[in-house]
Amino acid sequence: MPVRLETEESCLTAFLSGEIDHHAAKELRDEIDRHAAAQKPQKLLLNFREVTFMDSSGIGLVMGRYRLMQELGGELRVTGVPSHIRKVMRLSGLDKLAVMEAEPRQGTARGKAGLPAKGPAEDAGEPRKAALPDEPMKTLTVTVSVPPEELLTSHGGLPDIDTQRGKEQQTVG
Amino acid sequence: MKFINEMRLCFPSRSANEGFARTAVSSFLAQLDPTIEEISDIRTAVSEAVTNCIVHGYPDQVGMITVEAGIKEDGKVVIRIRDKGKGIADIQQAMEPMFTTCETGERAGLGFAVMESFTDRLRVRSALGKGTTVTMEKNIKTRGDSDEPAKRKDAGTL
Repeated sequence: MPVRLETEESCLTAFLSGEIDHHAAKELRDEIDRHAAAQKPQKLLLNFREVTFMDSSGIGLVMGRYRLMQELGGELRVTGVPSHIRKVMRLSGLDKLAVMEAEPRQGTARGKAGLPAKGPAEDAGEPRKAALPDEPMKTLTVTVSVPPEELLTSHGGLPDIDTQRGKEQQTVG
Repeated sequence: MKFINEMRLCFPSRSANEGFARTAVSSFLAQLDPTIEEISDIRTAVSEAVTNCIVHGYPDQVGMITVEAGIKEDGKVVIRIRDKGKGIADIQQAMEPMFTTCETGERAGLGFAVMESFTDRLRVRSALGKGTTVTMEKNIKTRGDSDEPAKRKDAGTL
C-alpha cells in the first residue's frame, strides 16, 4: 500500500510513498478519503518524504484533498517534499503550501534528528532519534488560506509559456 | 541532422503502462549519461504526455499509444508520443495552464505546462477524431562540456 495513514488527536497524516502518477492517484485518493470521511480530522497532513516520482496527477491529488478539507472545515498541509519533487510543486504554486525542511532527503544524523518521535521508521532497523537537531531547522510554515488556483495567479508560480527555451532552468531549492 | 539512435514502443492505453513508458524512455536515454535532473524532467514530461493519451485520447476505450525517442549527434533528444484517439478541438485552449475538461476536480490541468517547462521545445498536433501527436525536444549536455560536473549522476552527490 503506497500510503500509510496515522492519526494523532485531530490530525490525520498520510505518508505517501513510491511514484505518484495518474495510475497511482486513484488508490491514494480512495484510501485517504475513506479515512478522512470516517475521522473528519481538523488537519490533513500529506507527507511526501518517501515519494520517488510525481507528475501533475500528484498536484491534482493535493488539490482534490484541499477541497475535501475545505468541505470538512479543516486544514491541509504538505510536508517532507524531497528536492526532486519540488520542481513540479513549484510549477503549480503548491510549494507555497509546503513546510519546507532543510534536512537532506537521505538519512543523516541531522536528517534523522528532525524526524518526529512518533512516526514511521524510515530506515529499516535504524533507531529513531528524538534528539534535537544540531543546528536550527529552517522551516517555512504556511497555513492554507488561499485556494491553490489563486496561488498560481497571485504568486506568479508558472513560468511564461515559451516553446523556444534559451534561458537556463531555474535551480531547485 | 539524422538520429544516431532511436526507439519505438507501442502499448495499449492502460494506466499501468504510464510507469513503463517513463522507465523505457529513461532507460533508452541512459546511454547519454544524463544528469539526475535531466532524466527526472524527461520522465515527468513523458508521464504527462502518456497520461493525456489515456485520459483524453482514449477516454472511453483502450487504444494504442506510440512512444518514440531519438538521439541526435549533438545530444538533442526528440520524444514523440501519439495516439489515434479523440483529438483536441482547441489546442491553444488545451495548453492553457489549469485548463482541464475534467469535472471531478482531481486533475490539475497542468500536463502541457509541465511538458513545456521540463523540456526545451514542445509541439502539439491534433485533429478531431484522428488523434494527437506531442513532440518534445531536450538538449542533454554530454559528458565533457557540462559546466556542472557535480550534478553528474555518478558523482555521488545525493
